[in-house]
Amino acid sequence: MSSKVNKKKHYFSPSARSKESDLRARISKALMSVQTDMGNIESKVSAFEKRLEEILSRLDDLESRLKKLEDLLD
Amino acid sequence: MAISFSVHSYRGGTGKSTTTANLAVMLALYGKSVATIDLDLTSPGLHVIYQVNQSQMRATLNDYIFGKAALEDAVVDLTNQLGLPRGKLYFLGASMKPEEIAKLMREGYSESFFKEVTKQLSEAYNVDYVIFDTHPGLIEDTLLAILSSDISLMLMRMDKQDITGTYVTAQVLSKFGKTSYVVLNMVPPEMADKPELITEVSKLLNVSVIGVIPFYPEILQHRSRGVFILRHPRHPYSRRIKEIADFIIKNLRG
Repeated sequence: MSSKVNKKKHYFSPSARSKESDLRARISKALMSVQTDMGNIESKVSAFEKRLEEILSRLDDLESRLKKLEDLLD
Repeated sequence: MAISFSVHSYRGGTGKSTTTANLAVMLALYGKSVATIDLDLTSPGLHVIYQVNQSQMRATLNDYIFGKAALEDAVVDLTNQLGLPRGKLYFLGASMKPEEIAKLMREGYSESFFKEVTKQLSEAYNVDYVIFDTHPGLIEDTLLAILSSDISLMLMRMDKQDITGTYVTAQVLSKFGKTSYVVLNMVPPEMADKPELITEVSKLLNVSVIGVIPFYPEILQHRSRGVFILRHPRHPYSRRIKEIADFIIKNLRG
């Protein structure tokens, strides 16, 4: 049994390109005009990675303290 | 009309197609009608995960885009093939012929394609969601796919190159006021369940994180042979995919 709801066949018209709005042009413009400060981005990403490392090592430290406490209680 | 998503990543090998395929199946298991479209035109791969042979496709997405075939001839209904007990899953696969890939790459696709295919899939198949599995990177056609769909899902791995690229992508998308969400994929297990991870990533990218998927070696071992969550419904990966599907169903509107 067909699961299709509508029996009419649907075609895409490639000629619709001529009626397009200007999104493609705006994307092109945005990509060409973006003034990416890679130094700034890299420093932000590095700071982010450092924060994650700190969080992980803090948690490792907490876990090892908890383990020591459990060992003492045992 | 259906809600359309683009699934995007800055780098290749981030797990876009795997996530798209599994997420689409999970949404179908919720009783939704879902269409997935392989827009990774230079290296299509969704059909491998869905185990669709090229001979099963009467026409390809490329034929539809160039007006040579009807949507109905390019759509493959996977509902029975995958044995889905509820919902519907449809697939539009791209051609693997180099000459057809080259033609589409050279000519690009029309901006109206995204709205039109979503509209036609809604009319012909009553779909709730259309998911575009895009080509990675910051190229014009991919940005067109992202900006033409209702919602953008960016997949990111926790390595410096991908974090930097996703940051730049998020900056570009913010210029267009695009609603974007991030899914962290292949996250080192020791990091995955730390609440600070979501906070820090959201703060860096200024985008909400709606899913965290740890690295599971079983996914690699699976080697894209079928849809993982159907074969391993109790695996923690399936739970992570379910959490993302829950978020989409509850929160996202076109």
